[in-house]
Amino acid sequence: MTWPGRIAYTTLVAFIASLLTLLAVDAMRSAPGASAESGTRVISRASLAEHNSEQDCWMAIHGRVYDFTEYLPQHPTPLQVLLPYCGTDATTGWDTKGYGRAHSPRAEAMLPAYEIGLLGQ
Amino acid sequence: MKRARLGELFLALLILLPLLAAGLQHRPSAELPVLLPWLARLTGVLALTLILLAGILSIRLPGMDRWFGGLTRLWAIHHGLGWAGFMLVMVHVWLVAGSGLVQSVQVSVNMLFPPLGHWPVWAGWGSFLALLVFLAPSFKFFGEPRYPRWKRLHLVSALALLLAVVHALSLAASIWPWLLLGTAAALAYGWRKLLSPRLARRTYRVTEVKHLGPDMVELGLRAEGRPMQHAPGQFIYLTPRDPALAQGRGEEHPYTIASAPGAPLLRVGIKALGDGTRALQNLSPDSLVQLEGPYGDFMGQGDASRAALWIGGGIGIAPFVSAVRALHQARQGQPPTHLIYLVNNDSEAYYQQELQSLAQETEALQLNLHRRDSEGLLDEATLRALCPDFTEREIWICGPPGLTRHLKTLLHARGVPGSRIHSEAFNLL
Repeated sequence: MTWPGRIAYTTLVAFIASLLTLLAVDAMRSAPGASAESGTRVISRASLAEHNSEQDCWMAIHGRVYDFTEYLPQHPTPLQVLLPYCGTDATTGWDTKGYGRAHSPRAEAMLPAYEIGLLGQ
Repeated sequence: MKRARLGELFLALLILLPLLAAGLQHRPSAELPVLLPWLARLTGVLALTLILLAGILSIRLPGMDRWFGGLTRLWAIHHGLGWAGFMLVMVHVWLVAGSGLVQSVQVSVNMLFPPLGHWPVWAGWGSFLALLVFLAPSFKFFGEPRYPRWKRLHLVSALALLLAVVHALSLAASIWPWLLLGTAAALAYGWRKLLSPRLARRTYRVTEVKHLGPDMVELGLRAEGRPMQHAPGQFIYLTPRDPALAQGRGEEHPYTIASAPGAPLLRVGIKALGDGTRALQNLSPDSLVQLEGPYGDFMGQGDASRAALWIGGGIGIAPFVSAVRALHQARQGQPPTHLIYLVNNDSEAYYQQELQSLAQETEALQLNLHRRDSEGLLDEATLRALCPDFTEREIWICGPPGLTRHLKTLLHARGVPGSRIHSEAFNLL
């Protein structure tokens, strides 16, 4: 093997090992017995509506409720655009971004980190 | 050299194009949640650009390779782009994982391995696997690959590029650079695999099969149509069509042209180095071959008016055989030229007799044969004894990579500037 080949091969082995480690850590965290309180709490529309400010912002998306308070400053869109959605069912905003384009898989992957319960009546 | 730099400059501009189009030239704040996704996009865009350019460069149009200093150098650039692209793809995935890890392990895993419905991400993974399949033999992960198998596997690159473009098109902010480069790559593949075998190849008839040794043959080929114009040191891709050939029929391989420009027969020397070249030792006279080219710019570089030193090792003598035959035809007005023919022993000095008789009739040419088995590796003292003013000459070297490295080290140590040393290494691929 030439030296660039050796570098590529070594990097590939490290690459596969790192992905397997990531998957293993994830599997251990979500194994039975690990904490899994999310999804058990039911939040009514009335209590959702109370969290409607920059300091306390909840949104419902596809039947699940998320606490986005900490995330708001990191969102690429200006705060004024997002604030009206706080305390509401923001499913349409999620699906269309206001101009017919859905959020990215990357954004979707971030959702579980903020989930606090299911949307009730 | 100027032309060579132009090709590379053009390539550098093309590398920057998608980065600028995606607006990635502005580095965002240094906070990880912003910085990591930016770096992930940057490496993704760069990786795709590099592998698309590697694909585009494989078009192998005769003449175009001169913009990059000849086809050998163009292949080195192609290989380098592919290597860098492959490395960047892995860094890209690491950075995507990292931008998820800022949130949590679960987010990171979901970003890398989302539900199957998120096909753009899975197209990216498909592309990575395809890259792995065809690059593993190129990087010799599992030893030296066999040429025909390596060449067939390299076709998987089309799938890798297609999936990578699908991955990018659905996630990119601006899609036109990918449509542009993707279309160019598709055209390059179409030309190389579908059109050029029909349009760019010229048919020649084998009129002479001269055995120069037990494992060395020189073919004399006559054009069936318009003959090819070439310069000394250039090479062609040869596809034998002989139905009686034991191996390698219809397979193209590169060979250096050994005849002088304008000679009635185009000659190539073929040494048995593998199964295909061994079979060619017994190519049937009067059978047909197809030639594509000429390629390369080996002897076209450098200062042609300066006294020259040519060093040919083993089968690396081929370009100089062409040049000596041309020099013999020109007879006068040529700068003094010294050719040193390096061989292991006399039994491998296939062109010795012809070169000696041509040298006797060519005033400008001086010839020396150096046998490694009896005289050792060519060292500085021997070189100085053979050619006292070698540090003042324009120097061309052709031979196996180890020999070329040895000679370059020797010449650099004596203060010969790199700009006056021109080399072409023989490589399997």
